[in-house]
Amino acid sequence: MSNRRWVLVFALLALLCLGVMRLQRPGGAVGVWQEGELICTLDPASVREPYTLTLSTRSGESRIHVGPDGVYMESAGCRSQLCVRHGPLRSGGTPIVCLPERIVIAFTQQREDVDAVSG
Amino acid sequence: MKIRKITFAALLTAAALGMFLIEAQLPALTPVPGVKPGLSNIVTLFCLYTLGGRWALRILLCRILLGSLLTGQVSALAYSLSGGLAALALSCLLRRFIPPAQLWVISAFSAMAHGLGQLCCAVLITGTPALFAYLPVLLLSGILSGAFTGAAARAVLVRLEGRFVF
Ligand SMILES: [Zn+2]
Repeated sequence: MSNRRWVLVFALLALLCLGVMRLQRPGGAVGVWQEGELICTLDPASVREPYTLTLSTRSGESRIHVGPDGVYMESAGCRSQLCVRHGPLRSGGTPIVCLPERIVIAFTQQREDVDAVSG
Repeated sequence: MKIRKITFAALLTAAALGMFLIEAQLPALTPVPGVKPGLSNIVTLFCLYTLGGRWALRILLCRILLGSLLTGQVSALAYSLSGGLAALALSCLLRRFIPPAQLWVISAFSAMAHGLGQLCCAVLITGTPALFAYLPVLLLSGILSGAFTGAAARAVLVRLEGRFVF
């Protein structure tokens, strides 16, 4: 296959990915999973006063910041601190995953209100 | 000849490690977290084409082990291994069907395999299948970063053509 064809293949694939990303764009709801269980769903946009969610984990505790400025891992008991260095959760970005503590912070796929979807 | 090869492999391991360590500092800087250029993949591809699959695997394993020890991120070992091995396996396979001049194509596919491998690893360890929703993001970043690192590896190979024959 020529380079031009490959570019076309990857462009189509990229468009498909973008399309799926657009379809699944949630209404801003953020889920927090621990040990595979969805323990809570947050709506950072409706939070006025930032607060901290503290979870007791395998090697201590993980503190999750929830505020209008976003959701991020404030501190964690894990050694790598990759989850803390990840920074705030952004749409179009990657989820916050802490492998050692089995914590996932990610956008949820359930839409809270279907009417609010804009074309 | 054997000694020359081992010395060359050690040099490449050091280069891969250097790129890996630079990259480990990046997440705080990039606007889109987690989307890394996969610089050390340039070395893996270079190894594959100069020394072959076996040496590429050895160098990859050395780099991942040393990298996780040096950054203190031993827990990230499973992550790095699943991504790195998936990418190398697919590169070895695609190499048979796609000419070296189109290394960027091989690299784009293997970068997607890298993302998929890491995602599967994260789903298995955390027990959270909801993470699969991030597949499109990872595939997209894989295409972009993979095409870039593949083109870079190809440029280096062309420049050093025939200089490292063992
Ligand atoms: Zn962590």
